[in-house]
This record gives sequence, structure tokens and C-alpha cells, in this order.
Amino acid sequence: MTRFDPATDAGLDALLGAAGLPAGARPRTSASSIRARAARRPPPPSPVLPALALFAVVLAALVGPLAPRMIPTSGPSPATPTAVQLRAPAATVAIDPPLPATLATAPPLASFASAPARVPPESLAGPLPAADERTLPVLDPAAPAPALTAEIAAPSPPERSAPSAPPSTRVAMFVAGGVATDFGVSKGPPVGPGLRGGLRVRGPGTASPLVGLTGEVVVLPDPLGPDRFSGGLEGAGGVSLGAPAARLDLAWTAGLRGMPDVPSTPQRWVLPGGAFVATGPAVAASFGRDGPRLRVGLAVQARLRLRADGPPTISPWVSATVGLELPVAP
Amino acid sequence: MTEQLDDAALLARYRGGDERAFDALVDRWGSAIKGYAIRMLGSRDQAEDIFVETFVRAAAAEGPWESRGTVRAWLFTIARRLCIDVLRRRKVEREARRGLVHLADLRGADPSPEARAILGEQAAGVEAAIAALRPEHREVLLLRAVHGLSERETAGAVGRTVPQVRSQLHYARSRVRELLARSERDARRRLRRRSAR
Repeated sequence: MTRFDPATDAGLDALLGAAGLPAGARPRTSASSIRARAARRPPPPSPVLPALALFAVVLAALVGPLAPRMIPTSGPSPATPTAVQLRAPAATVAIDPPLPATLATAPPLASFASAPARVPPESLAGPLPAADERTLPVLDPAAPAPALTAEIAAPSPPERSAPSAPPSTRVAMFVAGGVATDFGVSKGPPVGPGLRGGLRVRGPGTASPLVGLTGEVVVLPDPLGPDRFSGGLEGAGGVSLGAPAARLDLAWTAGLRGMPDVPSTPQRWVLPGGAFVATGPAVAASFGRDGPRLRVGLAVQARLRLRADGPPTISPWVSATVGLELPVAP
Repeated sequence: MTEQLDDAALLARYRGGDERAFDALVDRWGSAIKGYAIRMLGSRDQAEDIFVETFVRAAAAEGPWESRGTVRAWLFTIARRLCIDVLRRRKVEREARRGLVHLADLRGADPSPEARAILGEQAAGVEAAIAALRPEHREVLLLRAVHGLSERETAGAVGRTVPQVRSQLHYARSRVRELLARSERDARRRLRRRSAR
């Protein structure tokens, strides 16, 4: 038996080298079956798709504030008298028979629209006033009443000065959550691309519904190894249904969510019941129909022990984010 | 003839359609990859899976191995990442099951018959000391001292800088020395007790 002196680096390396490979290191699987398995395997998913998803999220974040606001199809309600503002170039008035040319240039449309369309009968009593360029033309009661038609043209995009819903200035609370599955390009268990669905609750006073449903696409890069920071770009979008009536609310968010992945830091706990919990800050920018808003919150992720018969199984990552939505001046 | 070609030439030939070149690569590095995985995971079955998956990925991959310096460093990089995935999965499951955070509590791999012949009782002590290292120290020591990768190759395989690898190697060697000394003291104590009886 040869003795090695591990006191020196060279002696220790020689000792380890002499230990060689452990027992059972000879592979049982043949090279030909590995080749066959490699040939059967579908090609790895293209990195283009996650890149496209990231690009879409970033694009949405950038273009969001510039996107045209939604215009209601119905007219303004009495409660919202200024929801639609008509401007003179956007409206034309045609009167048959033709009016004096001076009328066409006289009043701006806003005041014209609010002027009486008909001459009150009492004004017809007494002597007729002299013709004045600044008054309505003299109407003959026997003559057929002129037909007044208004043609309202849709405002051109640069003239859209009023959104359908004014940007909310209140701070709202949001709660979002869901389950992230592990699949795709990353094999690392705690991270990977995932899908989340969740419930969004917003505070009163905002233009968005109080309660909505959201869907999120989570793209988290594969960290190089354990004990690294894992995080990524997160995008959210979806259809919200909520008070006062069910309606489509196209909103999207984009932002970075970071989750420290270091076991020794206090951001990860193992609860006595078996739940494994990690927390981290969540910051995201939101661009919706109520203007740009900043979401700041606390993300909590957990893997739960599923108490079923047989060996315990661990749930996928369940995440919830609680925080505030703050308005950002556009 | 393929036996005389170096790894890069074998891989190039395989990608050119020569299947025997791939078989030669598997013959050359298969045991080393599986041995590395056994010591990283303490399980022969999982190590076999790692070995297969490593070469399946190597066969299917079209990415450049040059970024890792050598083909063998690239193969160890793939195997290492697969091992890390297994370790992370285990850690999460263990934490959730026990409610406690444990460091690696691996049982040491069994020494090979050749190692027993050369090292005698020391062989088991070496395996136990390797298993007691933290994974990041264990992988560096295995790649450098057992599998003979250069410092640069080791750094490429584990994704760290050469100075970091040197530092971790220094720590790993010191720890192995400590553990071997402790194991020898225990062995001598057992021997004294036996002779006293």
C-alpha cells in the first residue's frame, strides 16, 4: 500500500488522483443509445421566443404612454359634459337653403352648438329687425323651415385631447398572484419561464375596475448556479372585468422583479408547516387606460407542502404581490 | 483511428456525420463524467442519468464549446449544471420536508477496488472528506485535482474567475486535510481500543 503525504498540495493532489474514480463510475448506457436519444429529442426551444416576449413587453412599456386613448362610442352623458369636445375644424354645418356667407365664419362651433337651433316664436313678433350680419337671417314663417343638419366628423388623432377616462390621481392598492410553472429552456427548478393568472384588486377612485383578472407571462433567466440572484422581466396583460359593469380593460405592465436566491439571507424562510417562502421587492411600471402608474410592492413566493397520501410532494411556485399603485404624471 | 484524434477533432467529425467519433468521445469521458456526478450527488443512479443527459446535450448542441476552453471542460460544464439542478431540487424538497436548512449531508461514494488497493483504509477517508465539502468547493477540487483540468478550464467549467478558483481550491484542500487528519485520529483511537480489549 502506498502512503501519500497530504500535508503538501502536491501530496494531497496525488492522493486524490490515486483515489481516481469512485466505484460504479463505468457507464451502463451505450453511446449508440445516447445518440438515438439525442436524435429523437426535439431541437431546443429557440431563444427567439423569449426574446420576442421581452421585446413586446419593453415595447409596450415604451409605447404605452403614447398610445391613443379609448374614445367612447356613445355621446357624452350629462354627468360628463366635457367627455367629448368638438372643435370647429372637425365639424361642418350645412343649412338648406344656403345661409349668408357671413354665418359660416361667425360663431365657433361650441357656441353654435349651444345656440338655439330655432328662432323662438316670440322673437318673430313685432317689427322685424334690420338685417344684421351678426344675427340670424330673417326667417319667413310661411317659408319652409330650413333643415339644419350637423355632420360631426371624427376628430383626427392629433386632436384627441381628452381621454375617455381622466388619469387617476389616487393611490390604489393592488394584489396579484398566481402559480408559476417550470418549463421551457430552463431546467432549474425554482426559476424558469412561467405563466401566472391572478386577481387584481384596486382601490376605489381609480378608473380601472375594482376587481379584475390578469394573466402574466413571467420570464426569468436561468441563473448560472445556486445561490445567485434570480430575477427577470415581467410582463402582465389581460382582460379585466369589474365594477361598475363588465368591460374590457386592456392594460399591461412591465417591470423588473427581483428575488434574492441566497439561502443564508433572511429573505427566505422555511415555515414549521413545511412551506418554503421567499420574498423580494417588486417594482413595475403599468400603462393602462388610466394612464401610467408605478407599482411598488412586496412579492412573496412560496412552495407549499402538499399533504397527500404517500410521499410529500411540493407545489409549484405560488406567488402573490401586494403593493401600491402610484400615479405618474404623463 | 478515432482513438488518436483529440476531443475537438472528434467533435468536429461527429458534427460532420461520423457517429464513431461520438462513441469515442463517450468512451473517453463517460466514466469521468459519471464519476464526477457520483461524487457530486452521492447517487449512482442519478449520476447515470447525468452522464446520459450530458452526452445527449453534447450530441444535440450546436453551440460553440470553444467558450469553455476545451471539449472536456465543456462536457464538465454541462454535467455540473445538471448536478446543480438536482442539488437545488433536493434542497428545496428537503427544506420543505424538514423545515430546516441543511448543508450537503451526502454519504461518501464507495472507493473503487483500485483505490482500495493503492490507498487501503485511507480510500474511504478520502471519499468521506470529498463528500463533506460544500458543493462549490467539492466541484473545484474534483475538476482540478481528480480530473486534471487546468485552473483556466476549471474556472470556465464552474463559471468563476481563476483567482476565485484558486481561493476555493485552497480552502477545499485545507478542509480535506483537516478531515483526513480527523479520520486518521479516529482510526488510531479505534485501533487502540481494540488492542486494549
